[in-house]
Amino acid sequence: MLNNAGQASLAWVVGASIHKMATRSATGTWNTPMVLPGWGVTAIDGAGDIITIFGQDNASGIPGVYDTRLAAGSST
Amino acid sequence: MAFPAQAASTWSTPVQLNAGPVAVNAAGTEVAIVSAGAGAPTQARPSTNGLTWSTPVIDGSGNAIVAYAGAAGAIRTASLPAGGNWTAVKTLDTTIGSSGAALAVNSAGLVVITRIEPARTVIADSGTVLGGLAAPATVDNGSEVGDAPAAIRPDIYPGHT
Repeated sequence: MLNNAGQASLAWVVGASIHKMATRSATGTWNTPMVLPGWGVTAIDGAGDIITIFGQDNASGIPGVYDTRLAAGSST
Repeated sequence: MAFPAQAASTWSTPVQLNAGPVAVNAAGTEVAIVSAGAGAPTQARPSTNGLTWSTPVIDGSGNAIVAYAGAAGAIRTASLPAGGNWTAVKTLDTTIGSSGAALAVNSAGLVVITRIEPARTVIADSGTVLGGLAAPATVDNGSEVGDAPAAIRPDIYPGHT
């Protein structure tokens, strides 16, 4: 997803089990990718706030879906 | 066939296309990829040669860009200026087996194209729909263990806000 400021967020999967995401700054720099706990999707709004939704099993093996947000200007 | 109501309007009579990705920008400009012939894409011929097209993306001025994987796996792009004709095809990556080309564009015309090389390196190209792309940037070097190929999730990347 790319906003009008040029910021973007991207998720991808390596094989069947390694899920990753990275973000792009308005100046075009990509940050160091982070590994997601499970499959993930990500989006960025016009203000630069990032939301990532991912799946992860709990301790009992029951799958759950979680969302996490990174406010604009935050780095981690 | 019934379509859901749209504010202050109704659905137009459906027009049959020869199938293909479609994009629309905020101004309502549409681009439908309905062919996949050799060379620059056109909008007149049916897709018969197995090329894989991305969903086209359109900037705020109505300019569109599309990416596709050629028969040898090379990632190529072509742009369609608003009201104009397709530009010459540009080759982004000649690596055999590159995949996962995904595009996003914003209203200002900035376009970001991401793709994955066979060694699981994630590459991003940035530029403008009509002005070309800068040198590619490596987003991830794919150093994780595992032999399976990587894939950019197609459900989250295309589009603009």
